[in-house]
Amino acid sequence: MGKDRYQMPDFRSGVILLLFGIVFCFFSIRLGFGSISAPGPGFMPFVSGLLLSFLSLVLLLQVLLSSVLVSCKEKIKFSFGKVCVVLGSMLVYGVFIESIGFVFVTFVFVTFLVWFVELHGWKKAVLVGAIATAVSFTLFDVILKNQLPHTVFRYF
Amino acid sequence: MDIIYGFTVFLDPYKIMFCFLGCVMGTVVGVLPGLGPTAAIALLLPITFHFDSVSAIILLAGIYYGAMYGGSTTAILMSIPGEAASVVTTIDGYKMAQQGRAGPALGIAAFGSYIAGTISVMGIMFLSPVLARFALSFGPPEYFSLMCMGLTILVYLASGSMIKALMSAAVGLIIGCVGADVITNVNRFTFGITALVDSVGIIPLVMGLFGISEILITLEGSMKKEVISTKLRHLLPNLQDWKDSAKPILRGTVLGFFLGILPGAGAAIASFISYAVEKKVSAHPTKFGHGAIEGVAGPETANNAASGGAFIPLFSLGIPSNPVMAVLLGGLMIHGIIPGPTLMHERPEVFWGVIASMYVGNIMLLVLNLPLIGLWVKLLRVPYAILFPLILLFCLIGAYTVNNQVTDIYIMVFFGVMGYLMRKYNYEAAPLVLAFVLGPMMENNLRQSLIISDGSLLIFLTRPISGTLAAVTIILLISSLLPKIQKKRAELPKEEE
Repeated sequence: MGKDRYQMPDFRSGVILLLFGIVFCFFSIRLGFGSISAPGPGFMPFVSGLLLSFLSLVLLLQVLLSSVLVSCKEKIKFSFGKVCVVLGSMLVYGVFIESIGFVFVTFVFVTFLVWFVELHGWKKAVLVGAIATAVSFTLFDVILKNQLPHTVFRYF
Repeated sequence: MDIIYGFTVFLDPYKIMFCFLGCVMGTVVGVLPGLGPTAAIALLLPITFHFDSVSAIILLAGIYYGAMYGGSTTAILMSIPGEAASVVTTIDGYKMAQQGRAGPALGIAAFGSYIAGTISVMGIMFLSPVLARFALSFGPPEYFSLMCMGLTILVYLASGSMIKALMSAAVGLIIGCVGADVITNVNRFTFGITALVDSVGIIPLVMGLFGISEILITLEGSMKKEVISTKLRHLLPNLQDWKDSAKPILRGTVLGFFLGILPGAGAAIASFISYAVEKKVSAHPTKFGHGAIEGVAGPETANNAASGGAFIPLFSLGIPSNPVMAVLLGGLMIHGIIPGPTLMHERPEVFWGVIASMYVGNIMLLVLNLPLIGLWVKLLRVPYAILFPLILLFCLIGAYTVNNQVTDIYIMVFFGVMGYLMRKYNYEAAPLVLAFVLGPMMENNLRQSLIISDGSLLIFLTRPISGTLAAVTIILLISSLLPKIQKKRAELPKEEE
């Protein structure tokens, strides 16, 4: 039974949010709680953290009480492969956009993702990457005059 | 006549073009599954920095009500709602398409949306000034109680566990605390990151929670969706279709409009309740689920009326009633417009200009939707493998261009992961977004109220308006514990997008 409880998604999320709420309350007090008639900067964070901790406790109690009655083995399935690649690509985009420049990084980003998901047709991926880069550069940089990072060559 | 002034503001080629662009973008957002109006408005918000405030709000508002029109296309032809408010349209709309009646289904959805959209704009025109006058008597305790009630209604109407929805709201309040304290200027939870001193940006937060997380979830499943191949020649509903749909359209309009005004309710809830009402009052309830046109007319009308009604609390009280309005509030404030009771006097061109644009926008949408349905269907055939990198790219550019800093990209990715995990663990993002936006306002009003009352919490209960609002909040929270209410809540749809 104890093992089943740890497999319950609600139990896991409840524990994490309870800990988060408690830590948040602790740091809120350090900010300065003030008094009830003159609340300080830590007042609202403390109240919010306390609310989250209380609600997490209620959720945990619900899970624990229901697990005594019903042995729940519900599991959440993750498919981390694609998710991690997409998130990693976005972070890499953020790391290099200012040093390498918008055009090159955008082209590589779009081309890679189109290729990665379809897993065939480099030509198609390159074509989509080139069109997406040209359109987004024209729209955001040329027309809307956003200051996108230019480093490679003079304008790109 | 203030509306005539509104038309003089709006009837400028530049503003008409923005209204048209907003309607087109809204329709595209509604048609394409995977990008709802909340994320789309957040995505396009940085672009509007280059425009004047009236044009910007006309564009953003057009996206919202435009998405309500577009959502029916995917719901009817693919059984996939383009946005949450069209979930119930899939039930009978898709059945009608399978029976070769996609044309009348799409037609009645568009006409119903037009009627509801236009009537709800009239409602905004007449009710907003009345509510704004009433709100002039509001002080900090009233605003605090009203915001508490709005959040409670949203949580009450959220699908799934109410405790989890409340936890989402609590996390939203916590995130709303990040940044410099407005009274003491003390930095709170900024971890030395300069970008966080001005608080977490609503654009990266919303794009992460709604846009990025949706893409991550979609990537895990099958990305191939089948579009029903059907003749779309007879788009005009016949006389019998009109007879069957007239009352559902009328009921959907009234119901949707008032549910839209209610803080916390929204278009998805309105369409769901409209479907339930139509099924209940129908002489042939067994037809529902097998291609009943009433099951398309009612909900599609209700979601458009609700999208109009939602502007009332935003314009007259300065309080967003759903996540889309929360993003729009962020947009208004970025443009230096403070919505609230004084908006109509201080910035009449914004209020009346947007109202006038809505009248014209609804006509544009009717014209756009019916003859161009073939084009929207073609758009649906763009492979998701091509579409999703483009959506991601626009999210990245949108996040970056807000302040021209890479930190916003990282914040967006962080909230993308958070939104993904929230969906996996069945936590709704809508209460989080609304609490995040309302949090700083609630904090200010709470602190001011406590200072006024010298620390007595009774101030929220002893003042008549505040006391009434607080009582409604408490009643809602207590009633949610009743088994009958819990059963009803379990049937509610998600109001995510």
